[in-house]
Amino acid sequence: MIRCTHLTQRFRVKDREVRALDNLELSVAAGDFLVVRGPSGCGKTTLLLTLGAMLRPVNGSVVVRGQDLYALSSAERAQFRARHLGFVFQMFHLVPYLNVLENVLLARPAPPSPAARTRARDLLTRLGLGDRLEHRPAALSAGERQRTAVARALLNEPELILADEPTGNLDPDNSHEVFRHLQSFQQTGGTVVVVTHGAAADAFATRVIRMAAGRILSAD
Amino acid sequence: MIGSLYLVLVVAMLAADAAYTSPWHLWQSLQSREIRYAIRLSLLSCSLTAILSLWVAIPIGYVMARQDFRGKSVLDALLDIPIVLPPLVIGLSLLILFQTVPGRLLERVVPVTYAVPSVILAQFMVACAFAVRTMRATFEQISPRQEQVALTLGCRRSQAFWWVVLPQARRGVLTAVTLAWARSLGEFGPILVFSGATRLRTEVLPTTVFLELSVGNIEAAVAVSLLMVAAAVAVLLLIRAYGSEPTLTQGVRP
Repeated sequence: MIRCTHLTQRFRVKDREVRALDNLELSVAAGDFLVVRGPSGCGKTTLLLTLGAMLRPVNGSVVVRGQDLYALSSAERAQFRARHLGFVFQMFHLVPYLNVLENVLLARPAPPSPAARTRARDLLTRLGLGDRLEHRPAALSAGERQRTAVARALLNEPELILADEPTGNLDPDNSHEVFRHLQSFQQTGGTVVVVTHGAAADAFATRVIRMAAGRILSAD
Repeated sequence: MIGSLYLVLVVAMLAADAAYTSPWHLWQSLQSREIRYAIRLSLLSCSLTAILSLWVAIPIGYVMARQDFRGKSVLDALLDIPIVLPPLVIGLSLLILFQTVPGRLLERVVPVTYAVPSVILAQFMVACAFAVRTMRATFEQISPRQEQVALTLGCRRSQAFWWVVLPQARRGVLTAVTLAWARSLGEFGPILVFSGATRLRTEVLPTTVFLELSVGNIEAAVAVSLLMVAAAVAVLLLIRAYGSEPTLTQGVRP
């Protein structure tokens, strides 16, 4: 599903150069639930953004589904993201003035088709939010907001979900719930990559790797 | 205590101006053909300068806030030069620039020096630097994460910028345009050198104040100064009132 070779990302912080990814090699098979674990600042988010066609690497390549992402134009990458990838972030990032259903439908070009509306309703019902469709994010708990974000990521039937600390703001019960939904996506043929500093996702993973200073240290 | 003294000084200064002149002088000034031309040219040139400054400041401010590249600190210093240079030097430098070969060639197509375009260019050189500073600070305060979320939902980078970043930067845009407009209204040094002080040609309101003062017509100079104060305060109030409206109520619903 994913193959990264010689992946390097460098940033300049003041006059110092920081290597967020240091010649990193990574392969993820279709159907994997990969957890990338490491301390803050080790390059996890940079890795996720690079895998998600959002941050061009200084060096190296990212091939997803046989497609070299950074050989595509900006518009083609946008299409690739919309069709094949789903993203879940720690901070949910729901639009405050749209209700739950409308937030999920943001993943489709406006106006969404009746079929997209039906799929969004089904997804939200499956994620336990069937009675919250008309509610705005402010009326939801943190767990419900993150499940809305998961539904938004699943709407376009992606093959790969990239999640950046998806349970960083949730209590253990809600964390378990979110990972259970990501696992169910993986068990129906999807691939999941979660980057996190905690160990809560390990129980759901088919593979755990550790990262530090832009490198992969070990695979459990 | 020191702050209140400063405020008292500002109010006292304006009150002294108002006490020096009378409504009759103000009315007389508004009847003058030259002063009416200066008001029109000031309003036109300041508005054009503010729009041009914004047009330049938004992309530069965005790149400076979001991108790291070699030579960024040099570019940063270059962008600040118009702020730190004495205004007369800016005017002189523009005058010299338009005496060079490329400058003269351009003058053949569009007369700039001692004409209306020179007023706009002189105002723009200073006002734009302030607009760039404002837009950079604005973009630095906006988290890139929401932009990234828009990218994950199928937006291109340009769409994420127009639909997500720019609406969030609305207040900064208003501040930048106000600052550029107000700065242009008060600009005098570069205009005097680069555009001259020709009545009914390159005369803007600060030029009027200078010309009236130089012939000893202090009442008219003060009356025009009060007009400038009134115009500046009106624009500030108008834009602040508009800028304080809720920003996140308009969006494209799916």
